[in-house]
Amino acid sequence: MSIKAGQSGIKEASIAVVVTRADGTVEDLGEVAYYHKNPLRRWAWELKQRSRAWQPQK
Amino acid sequence: MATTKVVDGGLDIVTNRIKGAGTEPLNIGWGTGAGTTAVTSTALFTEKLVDLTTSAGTDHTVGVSTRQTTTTTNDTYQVAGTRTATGAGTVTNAGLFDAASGGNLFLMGDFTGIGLASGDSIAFTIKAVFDN
Repeated sequence: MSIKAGQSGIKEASIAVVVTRADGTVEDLGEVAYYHKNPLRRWAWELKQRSRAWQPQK
Repeated sequence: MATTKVVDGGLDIVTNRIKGAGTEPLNIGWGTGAGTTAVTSTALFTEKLVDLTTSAGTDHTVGVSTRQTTTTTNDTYQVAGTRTATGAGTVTNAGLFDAASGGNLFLMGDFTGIGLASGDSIAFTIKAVFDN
């Protein structure tokens, strides 16, 4: 017999945003805040965000 | 680091809702203060009204909630909603509450500030994925 309650719960949470300026310009910023219970997934997400920040703006 | 958490009060809301009590946390709020989200958080960092120059009271935006599938069928609770600023400011965090005014915090996240002028809006898509 077993119960997996110790592993249950929130696996992942995120907030994604799209900004629309008053002049109609749309800026899709994607996921701006993220959590995953696996620290490696959190680290990978952070790495991806830093990588995006270093890319030259078009 | 920009993080999102279902806070301790959010667990309270989940168990209460399973019992058929309480109200759904589909109300979106935002704030302009600095801070790092913790599971013990009970309020946004310097919550503001849609007029980002005003912090008196709360005026949460009622979002549209759905169940989505991330890994297992219907394992994800999602709320989508748009807040339009009527006063300028920089939004640094946002969250879900179980009431349109006041209420209890279910989930919140902090992020790099998004500067808004009056008339600018943010369409939020907020997700919590459950696991077994």
